[in-house]
Amino acid sequence: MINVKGSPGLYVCEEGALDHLENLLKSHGFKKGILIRGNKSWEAAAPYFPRMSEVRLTEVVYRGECSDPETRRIADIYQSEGAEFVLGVGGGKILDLTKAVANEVKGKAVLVPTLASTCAAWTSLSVIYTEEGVYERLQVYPRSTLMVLIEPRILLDSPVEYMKAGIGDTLAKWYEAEALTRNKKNLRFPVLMAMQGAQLCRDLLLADSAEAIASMERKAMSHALLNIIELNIMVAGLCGGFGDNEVRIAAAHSVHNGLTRLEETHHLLHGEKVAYGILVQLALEGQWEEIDRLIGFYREIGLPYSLASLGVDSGRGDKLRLVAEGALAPGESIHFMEGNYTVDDVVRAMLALEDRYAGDATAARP
Amino acid sequence: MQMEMLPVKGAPSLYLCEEGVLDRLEELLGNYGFTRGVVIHGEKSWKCAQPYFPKFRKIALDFVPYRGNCSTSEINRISEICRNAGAEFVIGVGGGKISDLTKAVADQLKIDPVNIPTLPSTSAPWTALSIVYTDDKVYERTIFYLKSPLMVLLEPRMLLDSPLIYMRAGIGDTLAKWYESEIINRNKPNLRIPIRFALGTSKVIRDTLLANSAEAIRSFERKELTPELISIFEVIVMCGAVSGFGSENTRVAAAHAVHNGLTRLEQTKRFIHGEIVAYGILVQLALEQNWDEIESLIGFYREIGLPCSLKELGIDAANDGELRTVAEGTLAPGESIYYIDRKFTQEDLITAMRDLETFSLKKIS
Repeated sequence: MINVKGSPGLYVCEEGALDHLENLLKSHGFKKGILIRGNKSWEAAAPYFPRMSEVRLTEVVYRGECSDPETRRIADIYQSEGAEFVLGVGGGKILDLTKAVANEVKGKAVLVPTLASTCAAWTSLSVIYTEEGVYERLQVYPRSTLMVLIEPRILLDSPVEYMKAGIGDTLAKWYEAEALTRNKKNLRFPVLMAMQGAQLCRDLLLADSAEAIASMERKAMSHALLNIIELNIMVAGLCGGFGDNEVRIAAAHSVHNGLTRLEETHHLLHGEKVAYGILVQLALEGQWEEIDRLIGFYREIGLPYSLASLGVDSGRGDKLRLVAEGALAPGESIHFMEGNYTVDDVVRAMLALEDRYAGDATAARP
Repeated sequence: MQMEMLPVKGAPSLYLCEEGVLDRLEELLGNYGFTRGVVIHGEKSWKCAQPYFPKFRKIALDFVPYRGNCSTSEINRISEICRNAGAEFVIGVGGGKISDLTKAVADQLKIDPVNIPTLPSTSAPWTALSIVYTDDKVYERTIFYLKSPLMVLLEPRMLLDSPLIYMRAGIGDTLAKWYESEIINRNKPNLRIPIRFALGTSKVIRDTLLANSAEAIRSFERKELTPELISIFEVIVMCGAVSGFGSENTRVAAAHAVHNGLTRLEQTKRFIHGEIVAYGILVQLALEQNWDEIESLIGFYREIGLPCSLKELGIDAANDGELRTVAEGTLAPGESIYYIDRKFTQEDLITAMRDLETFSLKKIS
């Protein structure tokens, strides 16, 4: 069974998108809402945020986690204010929290992302953490987000490492989905749509990322950057939206999860570790030509492609085993693949990557 | 940087296609906290749906038969009924007009529409728009909504009970997505990502239709739900995502304009929309001299029974007056043929139809 939750009600990505916000809210008949925001992310968004003349917003600064108590706290404010919608402005956690609050009050969510590192703006689900920041569960909603408005100039000013991490995470869509669907017959049409989206991600990320990053560095909007923003937020989100469990994650994300067992990777963002995980997945399958192609790309844009570039000492066999054990933990997505991989396989794949690429003089950490 | 306005309304909140999906209808509605709603249906569509439609235990439903049209007066009449019933949602069980009517009523009351199609002929259950007719069934206007419907639920067994001609026409109409969106965007630089996704989707649609339609029709005739048949049901309904993502950039082009020209002739009244559009695709390809593609499509049309000549549409290709009428209609001001970045004249169209006629009849014989 495939649950297709393909798209928010309305998605607009353009310079000046927020100028439409009040009119759009009014066309839904809304007069009063809650604005959930952070501090840093709000600084980025505020210059583009319109002054509202008729719709009233009650501002709530979130407390740093998308947790059940935080959801209830804001849902209470929603109810006591008699709000009709929840507007979230921020990164992935704020957007996830906004969706959680909207679901709690059976209301509507409106999202304005300030980072292009995640597809949280698109998907109708939240990752829920405990108040201490430990992963608790994935929560899927019956109603998709009412509106997603992207002001690309906010993302132009966002930290470039988040954009890179988003690229790594989005690139995995193709490699993981392809590995899982390769030998399946009679794929349902929504799954074919998702695969088509995943391929678009790979092709255009490889083509446009370098230029997109360059344009962030010189603070000038470009088609390449707009493409990367839309791939990271929209297409990455719709792959799972249309493909549901048929295009889920595979070994690349398991390797990420294994890496999180090492203290030395904690400074890296999710998508950076996933990017390395893609290479390990390909090495497990012996796809060295594809790896060669990706290494060039990773080097160009500064994604980690070796243990050295992750800050992990490849001479420490015990650490590599720890990563491999984590990647192969029961329930890990690597088990959706057909290879029946062992700890030794994963360690060997990491060492083979290291042999081939880490000796390079340019193997500095990104 | 210059940016075009490109509003994406890609999909309903939830789309499901599976046998027995309606058994879960009350549970699905319950997820939104609904307690009462209205079901809009037709006479035939209800006969088709009733065996699969569950008894509700908690949520209250009123059933309202529609009067055969999606018109302003019908939208107002049913909206009034829904308002009086305190409906929190409205379910449309039927063909394209009922889907359109359901979305229009829901929009007027700011409640949620749910579409349960009974014909595999149109993407109306999916799209965020309605086509409204006058009470005399003449096209009046198109209403665009701020979002897609809440849910689209396909019970494939129900679609199996519909007359085959609707599915065949649906195949023709859906096939046009690729040919029309491709020609409009072919020479445009820096296509935005939603447009690229829409184009990629329309290509998957074409490939699926060409690969699976013949087997789907055979399964349909022996009333067996095969993966091929389900793929055709899904493609026809979900092709709404092409305009959902591509917005006006991936809508119609010459094939639909030729359809509109052909409807000026009395003979075409016995054909349904998608059959005439299918022929329009061939004319569009003839306008750009793509005879290889025409040849492969003629093989496909012959196999599944779509018209590939004027003769099959009951039109005499030697009749200058009639061909000119079609060409005039195709080139009427505001027609979608003008989205193509090449200017066509009436002579171009007449020549294309005549060349196509010669080519088709030779292939058929």
